[in-house]
Amino acid sequence: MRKNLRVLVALLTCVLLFVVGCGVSKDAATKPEGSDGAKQLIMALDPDYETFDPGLAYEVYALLVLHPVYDTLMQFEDNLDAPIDGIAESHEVSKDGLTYTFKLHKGVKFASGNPLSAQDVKWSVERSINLKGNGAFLTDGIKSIETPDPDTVVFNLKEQDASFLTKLTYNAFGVIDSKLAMENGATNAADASTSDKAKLWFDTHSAGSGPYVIESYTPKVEVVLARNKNYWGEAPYYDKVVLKAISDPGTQLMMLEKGDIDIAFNLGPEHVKQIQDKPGIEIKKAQSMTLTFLLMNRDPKIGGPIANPDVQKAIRLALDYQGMQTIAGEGSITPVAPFQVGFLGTLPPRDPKTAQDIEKAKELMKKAGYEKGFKTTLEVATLAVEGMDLPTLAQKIQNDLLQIGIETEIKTSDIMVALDPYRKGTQALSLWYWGPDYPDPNTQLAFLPGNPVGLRANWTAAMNPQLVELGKKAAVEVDKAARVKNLEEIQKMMDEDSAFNVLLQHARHYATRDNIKGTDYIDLYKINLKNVSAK
Amino acid sequence: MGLLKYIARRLFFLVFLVIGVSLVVFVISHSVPSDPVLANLSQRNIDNPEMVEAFKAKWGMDKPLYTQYFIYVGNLVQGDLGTSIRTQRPVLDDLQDYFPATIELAIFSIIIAIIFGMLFGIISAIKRNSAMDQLIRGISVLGVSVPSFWLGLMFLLLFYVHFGIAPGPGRISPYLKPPVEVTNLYVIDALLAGNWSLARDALWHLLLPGLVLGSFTMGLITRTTRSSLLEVMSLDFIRTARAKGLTEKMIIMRHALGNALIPVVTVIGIGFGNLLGGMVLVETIFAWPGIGQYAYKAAGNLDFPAIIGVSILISINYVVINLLVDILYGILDPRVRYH
Repeated sequence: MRKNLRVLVALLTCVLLFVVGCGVSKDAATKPEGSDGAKQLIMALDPDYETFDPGLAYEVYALLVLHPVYDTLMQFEDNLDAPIDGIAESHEVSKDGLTYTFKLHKGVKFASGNPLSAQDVKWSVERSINLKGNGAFLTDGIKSIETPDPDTVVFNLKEQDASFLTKLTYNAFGVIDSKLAMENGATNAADASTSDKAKLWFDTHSAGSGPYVIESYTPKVEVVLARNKNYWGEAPYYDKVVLKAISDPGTQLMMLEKGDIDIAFNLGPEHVKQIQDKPGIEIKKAQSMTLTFLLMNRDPKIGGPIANPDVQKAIRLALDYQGMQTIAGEGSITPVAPFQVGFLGTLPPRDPKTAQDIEKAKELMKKAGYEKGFKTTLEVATLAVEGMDLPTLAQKIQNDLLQIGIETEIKTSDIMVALDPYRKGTQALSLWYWGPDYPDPNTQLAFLPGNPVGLRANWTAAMNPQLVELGKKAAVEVDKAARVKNLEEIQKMMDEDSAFNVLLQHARHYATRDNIKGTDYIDLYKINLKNVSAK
Repeated sequence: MGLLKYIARRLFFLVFLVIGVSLVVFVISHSVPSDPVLANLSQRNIDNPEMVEAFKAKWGMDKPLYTQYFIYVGNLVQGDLGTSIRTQRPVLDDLQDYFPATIELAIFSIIIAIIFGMLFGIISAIKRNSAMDQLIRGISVLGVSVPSFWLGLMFLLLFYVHFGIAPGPGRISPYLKPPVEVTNLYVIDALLAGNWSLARDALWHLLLPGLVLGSFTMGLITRTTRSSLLEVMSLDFIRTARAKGLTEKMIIMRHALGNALIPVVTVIGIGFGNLLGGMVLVETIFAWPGIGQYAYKAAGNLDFPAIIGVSILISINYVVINLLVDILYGILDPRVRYH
């Protein structure tokens, strides 16, 4: 026994020596990289990006990386109300709303030292069009691009588009150093979707004029941005920004607590509670643009009783929005229609305390001829939206609907399986989520009757022509006041008659070390890295 | 010579195995009632028939299934695993990026598992039914039964956050730059670059995930070593050795252990194969960019080339490990012949 103990002790000593021996390096590790005292920001997130080719990237976190790397003609600063000039010094919209003229800042150079000209803008947008990537639809309305002089770009549109300036904030319109990109296999030719060979180069290099350049990218590990020494604007505070891929929120939280990272970006409401009183940490809350909604099919052959507009209204009134907001976490709200709070012209959200009216809902059920209720199926994908489990919310809806006699059987399936019937419009009642394609209310018009999402509920244009007409007007109206009026009217009408019931606009929770600033949330970029600095 | 022939034959059959695996995975993954177009295109592009057609043409999905498979196998025999739909990089490049992280962790874990597992197993067998035996058996049962993601979280909370004596998640400290890529095994690459402190940091970061992953295999090895050793110790030749007056230590080390090792080696082989297959949850908790996470994302996106690529890689792992185990049998027991 004594011998065995000796061996055990020896082994444990070895382990201890290993731990202590390697632990020595910890001191070296906690020092910022480089002996020159380079300032480094470390952000942890659960990234979805697969490429940093501005012509192809269209993932949720793409612009977090690409916005500080590629300048765009227009950009957002503090809110998503209206875009402001980016690399454009000024812009002008023709009276008919079909021609947009941009004057570029003079003397701008790319990180490579090459001068930036209107030709680069034209080349970059043409490349995005021809690459046919996921973000290419943003360029759909463009008829032609002209460059009358090196500092002027003119976009001619096929038809009026109230959201055109907003679309220009996307990386599909990011200005690429065309000379450098072509040297590395890029092309703007019509067959670029097959002949362009620069994707892999763009993943680990960059060709922009923004405040940072991509220094390195290791998939699932990190992206390192380094300061662009040729940047034309005010230099950012940090020499380097390291975006660490850490998918587990609990892990992000631990690393933030230890001070190993500066920003933990993917926290849920329950994580925030854990760090509420921890010193050195600042908790941030913001409104996400993600919606969770109920789809109620308008086709009686598919929806059965659900297809009845009175039943759909009764469902809207029967739900306990306060309870749902508790499930989704603090900061979540319930918009009256599929238009996110934060967008131009969105009405104030529902008051969760008064939005539920069981008596009125029962009356509507009676009016529809379903006083005794009915049975139906509620389809839901097994996934979490902004930290909230969709099947959990489905159970809440199941309980709420029982109060007006609707007995639902919850049918769960994998998202990849559920997408098919959703897109084909064959679900009677289903629970879904939605993130805007671009930060403009025009993207939400997809929910209107006859439009792509509307048709998933078989809500055809003929079912509400007035709403369809109003939607068409709002899509092209360039006068801000008139546009707001149209949008407000659309939401009021959808509150009365809609195949969709918006349940939640989620909140975004994240946390930073309290010695940094400039980390406010903006849905498009998540965090505008250029603005982050030490306090 | 017999051994070399045996190895050559086994490796030759590997070719058929790879093609068989690719066929099975191809059939299964294409039987899933969902559409890779929906999984990989944005909502707007799905609404645009031109974009859907372009996507299908780009990834060969406009061709009949059997044609798609024959094209795949045609490329496979030339060493081309295709291009991942999700990452749009050659699958082989992706595997070269992700697999070394898994190899590094798997080797470290299996070393921990072998050292502690065998030692605990031997002590446990020698001190059968003693308090020490009970303690070790308890530890090994815990090692096998405690979920590794829970153990990982607890280790991080205790040793990293609370006591601050262990490293945090990731392959190296977040402030450090990864070594220049040679093998993509960070410890080796850092040593090759002569960066001793980075090598120590990388080794240090293997500690917690290595212990967590190793604990399961360690439990198995402990139990197998104990039972196998107990069985051997009851055989006649051990009684003879005792009668000859050999010390207990000599009996175990010279006579019993070698004979008891065959089932242990089998367990080690299976354990190592499992570790090389990647562990999604532990990789997630420790922010470890291994093959498990890659496979998980590939499956979620119906990224067929990546799914088949990972399956082939894992099946090759098992074949090679089984081959090594078979060779070890021969070394441990000269009676084993290769045919």
